[in-house]
Amino acid sequence: MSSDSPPEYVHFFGVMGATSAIVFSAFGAAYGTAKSGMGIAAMSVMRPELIMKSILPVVMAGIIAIYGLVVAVLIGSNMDNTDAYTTYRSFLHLGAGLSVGLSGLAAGFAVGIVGDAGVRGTAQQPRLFVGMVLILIFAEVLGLYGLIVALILSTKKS
Amino acid sequence: MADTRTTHVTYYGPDQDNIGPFRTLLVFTLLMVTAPISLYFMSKTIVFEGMLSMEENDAYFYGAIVAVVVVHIILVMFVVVAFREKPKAGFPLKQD
Repeated sequence: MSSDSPPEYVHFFGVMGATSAIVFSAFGAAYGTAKSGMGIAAMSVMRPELIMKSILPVVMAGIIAIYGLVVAVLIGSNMDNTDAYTTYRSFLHLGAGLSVGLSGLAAGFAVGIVGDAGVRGTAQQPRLFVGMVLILIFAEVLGLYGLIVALILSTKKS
Repeated sequence: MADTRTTHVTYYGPDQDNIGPFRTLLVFTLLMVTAPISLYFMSKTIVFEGMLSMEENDAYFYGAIVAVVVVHIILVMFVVVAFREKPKAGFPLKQD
């Protein structure tokens, strides 16, 4: 196997890794924000004093986007145009970006649907709030697992 | 005649009532947008590469962990503030 210099197209995988990290987690965060925003808008007509508490699903959806941002910055900072950027490293970066991006997409979906139903129910039954927070935490850690895998992958030495 | 005794009614007060929660939300938004990313880079350069003299890759890795921890701290602060906020009761109907 020749190891003179990596092929020309190797940077594609690294760049796609950084892109997919932020793009897919932004998809998830957008869906989470939009769906729970619908619930907040609906329930705040009758109970406007609960708006502050109900913004919590939106905050958690934003956190998912931050996971993607951190991984994208990490990958983007580790890429360079020299011969040290081997195919192996570029594949690792692609895998890292996809892992955090698609996990963030899944987590964002969960946060959106749970947030929507949770805030609508909290307006009628205040004791539901704690249960909603617990379910949202479980939905959030899906994105965190993707971040952990992405960090492990992107910092492997070749 | 309608019963005019004082009941708990939701009274749509003036918009000035919203200024408190709005300010809290603004503070948390700015915090969430600026703190994790800035602490990521600051901890990478100052703490991990400066004081602990790590390699760049390792410093990026531990900086990412710092950013995630900071994000969760902000989230917990938000939950505490949201719990502490007492919902404002509506003004009761005026009795003549």
